[in-house]
Amino acid sequence: MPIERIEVYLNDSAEPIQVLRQPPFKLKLDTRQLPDGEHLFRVVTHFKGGGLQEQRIPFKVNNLPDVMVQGLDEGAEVHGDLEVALRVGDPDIPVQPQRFPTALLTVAAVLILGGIWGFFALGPSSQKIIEEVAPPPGQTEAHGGEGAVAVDEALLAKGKTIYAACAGCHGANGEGGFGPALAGNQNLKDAQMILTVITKGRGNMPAQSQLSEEDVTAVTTYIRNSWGNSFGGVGAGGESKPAGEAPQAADAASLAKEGEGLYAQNCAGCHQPDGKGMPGTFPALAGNQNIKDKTFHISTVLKGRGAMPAFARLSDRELAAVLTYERVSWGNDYGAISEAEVKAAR
Amino acid sequence: MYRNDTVIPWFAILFAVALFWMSYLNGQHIAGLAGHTPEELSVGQIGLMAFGAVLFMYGFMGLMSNWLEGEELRPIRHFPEPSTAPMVAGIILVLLLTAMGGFYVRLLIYSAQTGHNPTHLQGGLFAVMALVIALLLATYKKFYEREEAVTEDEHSEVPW
Repeated sequence: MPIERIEVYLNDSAEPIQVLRQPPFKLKLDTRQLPDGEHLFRVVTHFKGGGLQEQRIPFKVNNLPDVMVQGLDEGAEVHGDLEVALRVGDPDIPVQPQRFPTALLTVAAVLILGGIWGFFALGPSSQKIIEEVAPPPGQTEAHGGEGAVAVDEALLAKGKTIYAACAGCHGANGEGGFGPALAGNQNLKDAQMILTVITKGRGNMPAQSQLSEEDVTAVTTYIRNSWGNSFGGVGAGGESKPAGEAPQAADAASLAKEGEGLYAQNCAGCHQPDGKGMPGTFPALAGNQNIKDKTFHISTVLKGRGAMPAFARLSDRELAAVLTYERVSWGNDYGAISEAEVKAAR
Repeated sequence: MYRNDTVIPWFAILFAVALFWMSYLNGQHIAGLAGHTPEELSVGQIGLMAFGAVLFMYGFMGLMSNWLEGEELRPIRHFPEPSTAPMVAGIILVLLLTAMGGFYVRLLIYSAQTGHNPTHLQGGLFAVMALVIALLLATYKKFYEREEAVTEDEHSEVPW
């Protein structure tokens, strides 16, 4: 139905504040002209043909900030001087009462927290707790439990000599490398297990079948009682014997003979006494075409390669001997390497 | 799915736990192959654990964000009402933090004096202290901070 006109009234006035006759039916109302409080917005629409519709919309004007009165309640009885605070602002924000004086709060916090901090930082009880929980290694047991155990010195000395062959993987001071660390290794507690691991091998560790029972006992005793370990002896005793004779021959045959002992000490642990290595882990030397090349062979042993450690600690003479031994054994026939050649490569 | 949903954080935590479990099984597997307990972590384990740690952190931050800000971020002014429980929790945490701070200093002095560094204890204590600080900050933000959230683009970047 077409609209004839729209009259807009405010509150109960008889005169409309605006009459709209055509679209757009829009008007602007400045609420600042109205007092804060309840008002009524009335829209009376006249349709062509005599129809009439009235809409009433109550609303609230709030242009001025509220004033909150503190210090005087409704109906309160008062006498004498009266202190009244008038707070003007956003009525939505609650007023936070100041419960404690800030200075007092600060002093109390410093005293209480400082006391607690001092008790833990400076008091003797913390020291005791720390000593209980984390004792220094020297104070109690080393890496054993039995404390310092008397071990046959001769056996230890022998074990140390044999261990030189193990040092390639386990480190000269048992710190580990390709193989696990032995210093502080709690698995060493079980002597029987260690004996089995040495004689039969385990995982990447090859069986040391070239060692006699006495040798195994000696080296087990050594690793169980060195570098801070103190797991005690193994049981069997034994006397020390020279690590290996040192023939002074200059020719290839005697060099190779000299190298045999060194090979057993330094290389056989991984490459095996028969030079066949362990497939997939330690390469075979028997029939290995790579070591035909003198330079490759010398530099590999002297400087190490991949998982293989360097053997620079051996003298030129010893290196020449062990290299020669490897080149003329197990069917190899690659010729000798002289001391001078090693010296030149160093 | 809204930006502060808990679905992604929960899955991140689930994956993190699965990765840690996998790295544990990896260690077991290596131990089985090697015939003894490996003393060092393998590279694979370290990788899995690093991914797990990152995912766990993301998930945790997501859940935290959900707890602090709610599922949906609407424009609102937030005036927390003073209440007792957060106050008590805050006081206890502050006392705990102070005590641990003192103990930590004692631990450092002990290390300097004896030359013995109990790194496990130091690291653990420091981690707990950091956690307590995080809890205090979260408590403050949740129960004390007045804040106003303005409307944000729903297609913003990942919030956490």
